[in-house]
Amino acid sequence: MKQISLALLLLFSHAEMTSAAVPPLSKNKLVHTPIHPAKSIASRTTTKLLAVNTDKTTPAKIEFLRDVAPILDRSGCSVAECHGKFGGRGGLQLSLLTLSPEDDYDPLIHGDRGRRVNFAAPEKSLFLLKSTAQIAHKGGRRFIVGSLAYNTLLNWVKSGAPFEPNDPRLVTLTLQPPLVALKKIGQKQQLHTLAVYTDGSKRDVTAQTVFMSTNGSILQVSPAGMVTGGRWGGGAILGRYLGTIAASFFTLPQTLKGAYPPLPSGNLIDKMVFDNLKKLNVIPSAPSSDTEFLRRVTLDTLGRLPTLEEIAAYSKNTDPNKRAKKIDSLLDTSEFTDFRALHLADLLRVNPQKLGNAGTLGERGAELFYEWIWKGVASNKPWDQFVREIISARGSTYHNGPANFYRIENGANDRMENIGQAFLGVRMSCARCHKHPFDRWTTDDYWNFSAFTAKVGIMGGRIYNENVVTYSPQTGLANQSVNGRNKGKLAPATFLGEKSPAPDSPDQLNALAAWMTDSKNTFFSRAAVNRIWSYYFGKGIINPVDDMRATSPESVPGLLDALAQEFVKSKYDVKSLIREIMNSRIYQLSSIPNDSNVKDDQFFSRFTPRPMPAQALLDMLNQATGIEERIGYYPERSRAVQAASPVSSYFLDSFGQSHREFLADIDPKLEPNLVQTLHMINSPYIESKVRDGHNTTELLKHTKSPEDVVRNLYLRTFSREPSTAEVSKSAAVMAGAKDLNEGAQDLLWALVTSREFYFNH
Amino acid sequence: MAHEWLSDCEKFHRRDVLRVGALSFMGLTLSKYFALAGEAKKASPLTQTTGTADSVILIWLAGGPSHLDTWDLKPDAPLEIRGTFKPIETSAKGIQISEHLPKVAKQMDKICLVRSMTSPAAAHEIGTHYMLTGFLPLPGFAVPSYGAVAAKLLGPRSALPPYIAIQQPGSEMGAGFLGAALNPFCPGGDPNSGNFQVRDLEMSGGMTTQKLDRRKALRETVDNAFRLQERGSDTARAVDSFYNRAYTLLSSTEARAAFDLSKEKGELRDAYGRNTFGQSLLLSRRLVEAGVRFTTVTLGGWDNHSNIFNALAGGSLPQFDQSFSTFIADMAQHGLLQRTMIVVMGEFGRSPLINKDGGRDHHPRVFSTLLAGGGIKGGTLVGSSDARGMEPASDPVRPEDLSATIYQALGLDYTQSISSPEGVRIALSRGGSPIRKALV
Repeated sequence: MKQISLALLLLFSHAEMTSAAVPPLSKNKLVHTPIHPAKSIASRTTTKLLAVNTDKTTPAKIEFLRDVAPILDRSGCSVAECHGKFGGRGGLQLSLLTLSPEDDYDPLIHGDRGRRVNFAAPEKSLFLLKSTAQIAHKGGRRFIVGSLAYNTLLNWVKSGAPFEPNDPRLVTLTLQPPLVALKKIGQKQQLHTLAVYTDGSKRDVTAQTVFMSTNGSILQVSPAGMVTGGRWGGGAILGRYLGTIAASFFTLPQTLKGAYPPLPSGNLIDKMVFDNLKKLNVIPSAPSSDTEFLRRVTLDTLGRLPTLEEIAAYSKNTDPNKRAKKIDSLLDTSEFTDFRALHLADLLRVNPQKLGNAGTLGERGAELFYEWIWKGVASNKPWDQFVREIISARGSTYHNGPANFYRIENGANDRMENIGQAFLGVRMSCARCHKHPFDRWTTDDYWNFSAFTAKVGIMGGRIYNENVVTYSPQTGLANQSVNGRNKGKLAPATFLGEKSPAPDSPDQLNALAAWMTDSKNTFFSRAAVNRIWSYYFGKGIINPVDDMRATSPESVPGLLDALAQEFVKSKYDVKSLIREIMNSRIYQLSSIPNDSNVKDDQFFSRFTPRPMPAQALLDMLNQATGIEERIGYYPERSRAVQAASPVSSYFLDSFGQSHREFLADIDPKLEPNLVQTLHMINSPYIESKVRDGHNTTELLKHTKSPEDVVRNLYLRTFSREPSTAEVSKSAAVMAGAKDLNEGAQDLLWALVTSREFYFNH
Repeated sequence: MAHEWLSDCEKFHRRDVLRVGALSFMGLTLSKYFALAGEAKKASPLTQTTGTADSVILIWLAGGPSHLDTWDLKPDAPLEIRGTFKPIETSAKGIQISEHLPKVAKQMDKICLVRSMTSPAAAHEIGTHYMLTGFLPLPGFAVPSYGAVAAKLLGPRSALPPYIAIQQPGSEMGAGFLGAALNPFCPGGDPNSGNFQVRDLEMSGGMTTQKLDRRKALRETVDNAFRLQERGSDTARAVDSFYNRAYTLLSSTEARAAFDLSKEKGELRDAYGRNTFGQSLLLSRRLVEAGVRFTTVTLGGWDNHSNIFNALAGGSLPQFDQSFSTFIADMAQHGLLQRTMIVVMGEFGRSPLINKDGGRDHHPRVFSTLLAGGGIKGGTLVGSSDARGMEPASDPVRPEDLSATIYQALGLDYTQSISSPEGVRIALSRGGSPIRKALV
């Protein structure tokens, strides 16, 4: 089961709306005249508070931030359906999910001309009457009269609704315990939220925390923070308090039937993945066979099937190290460079449309950019150097390949988002307008980091559509958040996650490149490793690979850090990382599940079948049938994976070719769908490959035996010998055809439209 | 799935989502969706929506047709604005349209004319995106089009795909973040061509039942080994379900027949116009009959920066007039107008001031849109532009309002939200409200 988007669950909350309209507020004439600033209200009424507040269940002094604001969040007032919506609801706008509680005081107390609070008769305060549904409230009853939430709000109003500038602010938030290994299904664990404030005080704020589970089928959490294990697996419980999120990571083993088998040792990856599987009582699948391995590793490195000659040579080879040697030789081919360059061209969104229009000279920029990528892969250019050259690129887009990167997006903030997702594994887009609801990023983080890319200058060149990328030191960027405190102010260039602005530098783009690729920048190394891992396992260690949050559960604890450290130590050697991955026993596990791991979709206990990129699938089809197809404008005999830019092709589009238009296109869409299936099983396009491909014609020149035909075609498509039963069954059906040629074509059709062909497994 | 921590409100919303049989939760694979849709279908037939329309046909006039020369003439404006066309009376009292649309004029009692569409977007891509999704482009974020949302939330009504674009759609008509599975199915080819065949739906020549059966048998044989892997893979099971579904579609004579225009009388085909647009409209009627939720027909040629009056009077308008008037009458005659909403629009209007090349340039501040059928009050006029056709003078209608109108007609709560895979959430209509004056 796929995980339900946490965001979706969160944001779907509180849609319960009664149809009653909000009545006019005429009854509340006895309203407090707003007085600014808040402080004066507080000081004026403090003495009154002491006399009135006899309720022992609420703290003696009720503070807006620590006591009141969390109620807005926990009661669901500030969700996007209700008052957290931009523009608010019923005239009241609160910060989304109380992510910026400081901003909520004014609308609550002074908004709507102060009619929401009634200092003369606090019980009659509109926001208390509404939230308890004593008068019609579209959001229904959020809590009842006399509840702790109610008493806290009431006593706060009685005390004059204070919010003082020196009220303590939240500094850190943690969930305790941070790591929990549950033993069995149904076991419970109470979480506690601990908050530390600017005045050094600490509080247990469990009762004020909003809890969420990243995977509701594995972990359920009650509003009070009690976690129950639902099924085996791993996940995180997130707690939100005052706009900050903390996580506690859980694992729950499955019940072990019989003894856990001893597992072989292997490389670093094997050790960590196996250790984790053992903790979870998940037994990995058996190792893949040589033929399975050869097909898998050839598809993943070259984006094509192994040839009959390669299969024969490999099966004859008796060298015990033949897998490692095969990996080495595959990684040294130019076909590997082609296929890895395709991944990178998607990541960098090499797209003539973006680079000055297709059909004019946009292709010029795209080809140059692609060529630069290709050479970088061929020479195994260290990843840090590769990225530095992109970020510091200058000059003409018709001369310097990587300079085209800054034409893919034009706005300073769009460029920053692009850099964040492609190289740092962070999605910043939420923080453009408001604090990121599931990550640490504030609007200041967003705009201050964008201030670097604001210094990219683009000038016209001498040739049509040529651009020249320059450094533009004077260009500043205004913070354009929706209601951030620094809205409208000049954003000081600040490295992501740092508190103070970057030191002055003669070239801030070079400074950005240096900061990004610094060996201490774990965003960079972790994002690179996680992404490379995902190409070979179909998913990252943390997912999504371009949205790695501090609160995202890591499927194998410690693995990403360990690999990232090795990656840095290797001087960002991409091939060496790929080699380590492919040599691991984990990568070489069979894709056939056992009873113990059939439900595992997180822990890499088997190889997960996954669709190949559209371009590779097309190459596979042409290879299996024996067709030479011209791809787009590219020369005859070139392969689809070699195309520098997206190609106009119904097949490629149907199978998820990325058009590299949007930020979300940094990866192809490898989801199967109905259009693909129809095209595969019933299109003249595929039919002509099956009918006209020279593989069957050639084959029938050499054999008249249906059994031989079956064997040959299995090898050409599934890269394996058929079983005896498969041979006899296939041959029997083929016998119904008018001749062996037709039978062979029908079998070939069946093979290429089947799942064993379509998936890398 | 257990969601103990969800409040009542969320349960409410889930129920709401399930009611329309949707795969709103992004985790649902399509195979599960089909299973779910199947179950829901057993419980209550989904062919009818709770709204005023079960289907939508969207006629997209690409390029931005001039409002001043079609639906909103300004006979009293100075010559450099009013151009050369004269207004004529229509079957709707008080509504005048261009003299080059005489046949449509006779159908205006079935049509609601909105003369006060307004948008800030004067560039084709942006205006197109706005009009076809209800949103200005959001950077880095592909908003789904009306058809994709309808396909997602309402599901198919028959073996046919729920969303079909008769002409090759641009990305603005696509599924955006909803994922490729909800992109419109494009039949490919020209419905006006004699050998019009639907992309991948017609069995290719030389295919016999025996051959088909043989291939199916072979495929089952060779695919069988993969059942071992399938146990652990949602994706592998999904591919299997698509395979079965594809065969259902291929073997459904009804579904295939929907694309077969030769089943229509020659005179009717002539009346529609023997051209791509006319035959596409006829096809769209057949598709609605066969249960397609959302169909788009695109007609280009409206970006008249020069020589506009010749271009319109000599080509675009007579063609549109003949095909569209026949289409409206035919839809009504087949009893389909009642439950099918028809929308005719482009990305903007054209500038009142005629330029030096005798053309009009882009003008989004005010332009006209037609609505008809399912839930729309025929013969009505909504809004007006000012005396020079520059700005809305009354009842301005934004693309958001249009989107709310379309979604509401389909029985969808236009204030509900859908979420991108990244968890970014958007309401179906951002702050829009249905065009009340247009509704029955």
